[in-house]
Amino acid sequence: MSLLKIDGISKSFGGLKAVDNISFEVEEGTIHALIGPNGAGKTTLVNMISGIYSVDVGDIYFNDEKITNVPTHKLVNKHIMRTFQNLEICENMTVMENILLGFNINMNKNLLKCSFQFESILDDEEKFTHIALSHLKRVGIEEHAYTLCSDLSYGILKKVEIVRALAINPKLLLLDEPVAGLNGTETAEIAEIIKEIAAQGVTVLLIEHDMKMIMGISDNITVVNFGVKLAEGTPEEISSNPAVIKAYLGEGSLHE
Amino acid sequence: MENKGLFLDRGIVLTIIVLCVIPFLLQNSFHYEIAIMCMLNAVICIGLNMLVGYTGQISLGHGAFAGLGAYVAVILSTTYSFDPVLSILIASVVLAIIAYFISKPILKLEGHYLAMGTLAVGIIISIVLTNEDHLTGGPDGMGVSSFHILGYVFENDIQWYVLSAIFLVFSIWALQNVVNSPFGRILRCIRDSETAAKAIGADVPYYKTYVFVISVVIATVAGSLYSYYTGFISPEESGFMRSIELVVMIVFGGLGRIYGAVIGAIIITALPQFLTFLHDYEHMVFGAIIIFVMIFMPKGIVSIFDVLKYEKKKEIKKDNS
Amino acid sequence: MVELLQYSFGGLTVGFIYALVGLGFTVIYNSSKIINFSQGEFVMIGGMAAVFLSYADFPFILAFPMAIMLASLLGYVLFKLVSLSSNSSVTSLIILTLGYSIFVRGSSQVGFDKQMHTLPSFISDTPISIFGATITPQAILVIVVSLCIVFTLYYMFNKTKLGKAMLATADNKDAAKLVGISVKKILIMNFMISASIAAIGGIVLTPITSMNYEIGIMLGLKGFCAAIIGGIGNPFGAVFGGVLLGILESFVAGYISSEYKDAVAFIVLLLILFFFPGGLFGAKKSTRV
Repeated sequence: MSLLKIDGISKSFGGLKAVDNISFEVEEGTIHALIGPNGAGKTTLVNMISGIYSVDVGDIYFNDEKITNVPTHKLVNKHIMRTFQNLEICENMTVMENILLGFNINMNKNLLKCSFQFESILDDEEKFTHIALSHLKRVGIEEHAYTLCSDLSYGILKKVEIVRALAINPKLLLLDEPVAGLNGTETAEIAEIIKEIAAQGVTVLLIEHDMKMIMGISDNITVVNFGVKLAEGTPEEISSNPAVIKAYLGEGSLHE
Repeated sequence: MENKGLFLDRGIVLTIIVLCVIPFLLQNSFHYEIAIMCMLNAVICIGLNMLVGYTGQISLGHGAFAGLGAYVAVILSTTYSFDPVLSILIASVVLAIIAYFISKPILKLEGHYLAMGTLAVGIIISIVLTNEDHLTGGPDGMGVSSFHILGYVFENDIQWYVLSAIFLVFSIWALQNVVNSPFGRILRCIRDSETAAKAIGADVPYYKTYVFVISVVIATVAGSLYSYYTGFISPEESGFMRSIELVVMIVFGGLGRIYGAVIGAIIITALPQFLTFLHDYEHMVFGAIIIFVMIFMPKGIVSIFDVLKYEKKKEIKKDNS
Repeated sequence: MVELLQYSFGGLTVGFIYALVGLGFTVIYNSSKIINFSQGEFVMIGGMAAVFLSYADFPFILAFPMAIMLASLLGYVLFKLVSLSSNSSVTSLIILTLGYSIFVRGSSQVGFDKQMHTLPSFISDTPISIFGATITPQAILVIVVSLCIVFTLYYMFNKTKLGKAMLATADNKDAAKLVGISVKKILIMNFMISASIAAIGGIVLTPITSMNYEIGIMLGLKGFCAAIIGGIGNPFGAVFGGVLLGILESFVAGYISSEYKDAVAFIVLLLILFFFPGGLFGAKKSTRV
């Protein structure tokens, strides 16, 4: 069953067509990778899916429901979460506070109740703090739970963003270059985490450059270049597709 | 985080103790006036800090809102003989509505543009208040009726001191609770990354407006009380310099720090009084102090305590190693 | 019709002063991205210093350059203060320049005094009649001097090596450093030029409106409005914005109400911010995530 359906979407910035009539579907419970050279339009695509950019033409469907141009924060209610290529972490807050933000839609935010420290607010805090700690433990960073994010390394913050996105048990998780800038060990850790996430039923749409990781964990791959879909298929099909090899894989990155 | 479950934490207890001790140090009516001014300014600053320090939205026009709110309340009770408490309530509602409609277009702006936009709104309000003298008494201001709560009249310094102190303690306590609550976290998230806030499901414009309105209402209440206390109101209180003064207070004290707003308000309110012996040099010195603090303590006065804590941590680490 | 012309003349005169303030503000903003809230004080210092130097029997030919140098020095001091400031958050810098404006105003209060002061008209007092409306030679001087400054700056930025170095620095400091431009020197020059043109404006304005230590506040604020209306960072925009504001203000004062004259600049500013966020001539912004 296709959970996410991208139907002929296009977007231009001024005179530049960043995304040109792209369509593909993401099957539920799979890890679907979106690959292509820099500037191919991948992030634009993800930004359109997650409501950050508007769609010029075409539609996006989630669970057969049209979600084209639905603003980002409303998509969260549908349990669509994402991470960011350039890390959107709250630096002046602790890891725990960032994770607790992930639980936002499940929390009571009534200002009056917050001002007077109602029992319900305090109970929520305790409950979600426990859950957050167990999530942090699973990715191995619970020791940093109460550290300020501005004091932590990039690699750890990448994990924090993923944990934040997982807090509400999303149905669809969009990961925008989750291992960009990480070393081999860190990359392998993240790859494991993504596999675990998928194993628990979360559908993952993954943008990445790291071909080894992509080939290792993806169920399906969509290749884009210059805003246009180039190819689609399983890792085996893609790695033997001549057009793809010529445009992208041929640059030697397969052997990293 | 740490004060989860604690009804009153150390800071509040200390504040209450200090507030109880101070009256013994105040020797005359003038001293009381300064103390009350400090406390009411601190309340306005707590609200403003919520907007500027915690949510990251600059406002260079809050003096105007405080002044406008005070004028509404004061005109109702003085010219139209409304009950003062009811006047303040009505003024709060009126200002909340005005703030709501202004916030919609204004808070779409960012950074310098937001600063200039709020500045412009503030100045326009201030000009209107100065010119509509048939309502407001014009540039010379107007006298204000007495203040009473359900018949209990507030006419001496001690009463006003206690009332202001209660407001202050309550504001500190409430803000502290909010900051560490889900609501407060969203505000701080907006400050650090609006995109992240959207990504976790927060309707950013909604929260910005919410905080803006709250901060305006707080300013209205405190501003009104101040006018009732002094028995007088003038358009100066809504002027550009007043708005700047408020922002200087929170930046000086420490943006995004609860006690930063309070300490900043106290110092900036009381300091000029102690500088009067300098007569005409007062403004020069005041300006110089602001410059000095902004260069050497950009995170505000409160950051001194951070340095002390950091030094202590270093010592402890050294001892342990 | 005569009325319209009369208001236009008045508006042009003060409009060019707003233009000079806005232009100075733009020069600083372009090179350092700083909103200088003390810009108006340079106008005030120019005027007040000129007045007091002439009281001290300095002839205009000496007093005026000295006044400009004083303002220029204050511009240099501001640069020094800003470069000392380690935290470059928008709010901190705004407060810093505000503190500086309070300091300069306070110094003027002490160094000069709190009274209104004026200078005699530089040329003559006899108003000139144009199509039935009158304009004083001083007002014409204001317009002429302002235009000279605008064109001098234009020439400097676009035709001289120094000017191009300034544009390069404004665009990308690091790249400028890499090609051997002394960024610090450029910044210092920009601050001093900015203060100087404001001071010149103050000097030529004094015979018309008189000066006192507080005049800088509103002039500064309206100058910013001009700069933002024209598109922040666009010098021609600032000039256009200033003149536009001056004329609009004059019309409102004449035809509607003189009490609300001051509000014009800010109402126009708000309208521009809401409907033309980049200013009339500014670039449209788009955020990349």
